Amino acid sequence: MKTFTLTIVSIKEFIRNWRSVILLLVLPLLLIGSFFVSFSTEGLQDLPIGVITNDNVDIKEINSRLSEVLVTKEFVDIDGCLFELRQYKQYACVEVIRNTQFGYDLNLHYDNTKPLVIWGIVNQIKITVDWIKKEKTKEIVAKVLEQAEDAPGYISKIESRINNLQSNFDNYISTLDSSISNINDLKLNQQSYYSNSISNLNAIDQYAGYLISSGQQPYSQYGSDIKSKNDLLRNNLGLQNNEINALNSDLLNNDLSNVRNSLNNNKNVLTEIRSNLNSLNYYISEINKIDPETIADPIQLKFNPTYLPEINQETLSRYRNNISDIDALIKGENLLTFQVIFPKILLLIIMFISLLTSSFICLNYIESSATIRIKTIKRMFIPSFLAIFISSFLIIIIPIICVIILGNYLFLLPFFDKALIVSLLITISISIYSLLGIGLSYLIKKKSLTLIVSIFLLIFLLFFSGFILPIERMGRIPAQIASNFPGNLASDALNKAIFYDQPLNSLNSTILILALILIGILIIVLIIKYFRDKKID
Amino acid sequence: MEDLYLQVSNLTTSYNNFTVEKVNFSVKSGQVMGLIGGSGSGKSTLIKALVGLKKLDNGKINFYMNNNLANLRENLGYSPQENSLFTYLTLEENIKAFGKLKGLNRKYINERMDLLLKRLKLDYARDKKIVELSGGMAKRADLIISLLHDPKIIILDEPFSGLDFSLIKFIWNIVDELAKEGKIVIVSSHLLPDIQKHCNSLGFVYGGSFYDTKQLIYIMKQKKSSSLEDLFEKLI
Repeated sequence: MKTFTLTIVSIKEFIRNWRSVILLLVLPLLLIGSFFVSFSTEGLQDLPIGVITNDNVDIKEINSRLSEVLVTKEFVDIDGCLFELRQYKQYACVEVIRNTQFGYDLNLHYDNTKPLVIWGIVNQIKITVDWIKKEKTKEIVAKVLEQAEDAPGYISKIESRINNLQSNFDNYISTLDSSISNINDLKLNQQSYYSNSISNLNAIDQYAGYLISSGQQPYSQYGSDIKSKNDLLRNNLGLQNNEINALNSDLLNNDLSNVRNSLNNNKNVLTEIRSNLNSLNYYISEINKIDPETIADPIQLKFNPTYLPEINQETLSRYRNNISDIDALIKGENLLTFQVIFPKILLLIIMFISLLTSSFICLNYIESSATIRIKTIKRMFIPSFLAIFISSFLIIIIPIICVIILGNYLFLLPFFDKALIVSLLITISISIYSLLGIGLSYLIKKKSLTLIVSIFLLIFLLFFSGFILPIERMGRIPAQIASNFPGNLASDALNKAIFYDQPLNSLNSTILILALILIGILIIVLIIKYFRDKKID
Repeated sequence: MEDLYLQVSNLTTSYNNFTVEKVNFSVKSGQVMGLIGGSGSGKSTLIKALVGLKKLDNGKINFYMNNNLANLRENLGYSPQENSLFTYLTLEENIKAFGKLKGLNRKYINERMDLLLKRLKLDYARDKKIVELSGGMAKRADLIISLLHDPKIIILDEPFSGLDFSLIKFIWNIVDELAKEGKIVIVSSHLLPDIQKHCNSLGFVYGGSFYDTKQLIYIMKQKKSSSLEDLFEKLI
């Protein structure tokens, strides 16, 4: 009852003080609104970069490409551009220098004192250069492939010539075989003739023997002469036969055989050439199948985000008349960009509003003239604490619900579908930051000092919740600490539930850690309140 | 009418490095005790100790009703130096809120509220927020809250600061009426002639010590002072 009465009083006091309403409700809502309005989904816009003109290099293409995404300004030398860069008039200077007959160096001078912006610009320039590089490669490859298309014609001509040559070789071999056959026939005829001649000479020899054995002159003389002439003839015939045999043997075994082998070898060479030509033809046909795009950009990097928003029927009906709008709505960068940062922004708002509102309400209570009278009433320790906490919570929840409604209906995030997880995480987050604000107020008890310390605490919480520097970029130990900070735990859990439809049981451990943190902070705050309440100023 | 008796024995209380020690006094039903002393002498510190806002370093505070030991806190009505009200709530809302916080039932709150608003002539301002009230109205509103639960002991810490003559007179009348009702009233004030006129018991806080009526009369005789004002001029 006491808690309820004090809570109502606290809320009434807050609402009736228009300054506090403006400070803690209207301003945060305006801040949230302005944040969403000012956030550009189109990335970096109208950022100036300098391009150095050079007589040796035609930079028209680069210039025109870059000017599509950035505001380019031409400089005659690098010094002029760097001078403006150091005056924060240019974000980067692009200088193209010819290094070989066909190659270029693209020197990019950039202002690395603006890290968040400059990497966006450098990325834009890199994308442009990569694009130009790809286009150039495609152009060259297309020319090469165009010439390769004529190659099969040439190969076909060579093949035809080879066929003729092979045919000629076959004729030569056939003719040669016929000649060898004729020589062999001749050889046989010659052998027969020689045998017959020797047989005839032997018969003559027999008759000459008869004449010699008759012993009658001149007949025996005649017989001797005939025999001697016959022997001479036989010898000559034998010599000639031997010579012809030797000649035939040489001709057949060596000369003609060598010619035939040589012809066959050459024919084989032609066959091998034909086979190589076939291979060449295959390779060229394969080359002709190649797309210049593949050569210019062989590795196609395709982005497949794991989270893609789903559209429900209700939303669909709102955009029923324009399907292309739905497509743009779902797949377009606008929605996705906002969706992925929305839970983080929600928790950021919770952190700010909870800490500031709770410390404001607590300090109002501490500094309220009525407090001294309340302290004279018995058993007010817990009711006064609960009243501050509950009234803070009820006031904080109003803008937070507005943001959640915004997220659910405008950014199509399933906050209402995941009402249990969302309400659990938001309740715990609001409670943690509210208790921090209450604890801080009890500890310091002075508005001005509490405000300063709250700001420091907020910056500390912002940093260690990964809002300023992603915790992945922190050192090992700070990252370990930061990953267990309530902001980070709640953010991860909320993202998992909203983007990946994770059920409550998969988030149990995170919610348990958050609850333990909450209980820990609650105990600390109660201890602070106990000791600070004893001290009466 | 109940027989009330408040006894303070050897009370020592401190605030930062300042100590008020060996406070001994007793007050009975119908008595108005005037608590006097220079600025920063420790009057408010002593009052805070009496109402339970400060822990006692030493000593005892006993309250008796009809010779029975009673709970002081439950029977105490305290009006601090600065008005202790919810500034953005109306007077009626303040009365109801404090009534509920003190555990009073709604009917009793309404009855007491009507009675006190009439008695302190603030009936017309019941729907006004405290920020809209003048200093005198706010002081009377604060008195209403202090008297809401019909306390037996009423402790008023400098209730007249910033008030005009007629309002001072009005509040003294209320104080006198409360005393006549048999309540114990302790009033701290710098209005020494009024204190001398309306109080039948005195407490003087000076140099970290407390002097009761007898001791104060003794000092006055020693210092040959004809009045409290005269004594103050000589001492402070």
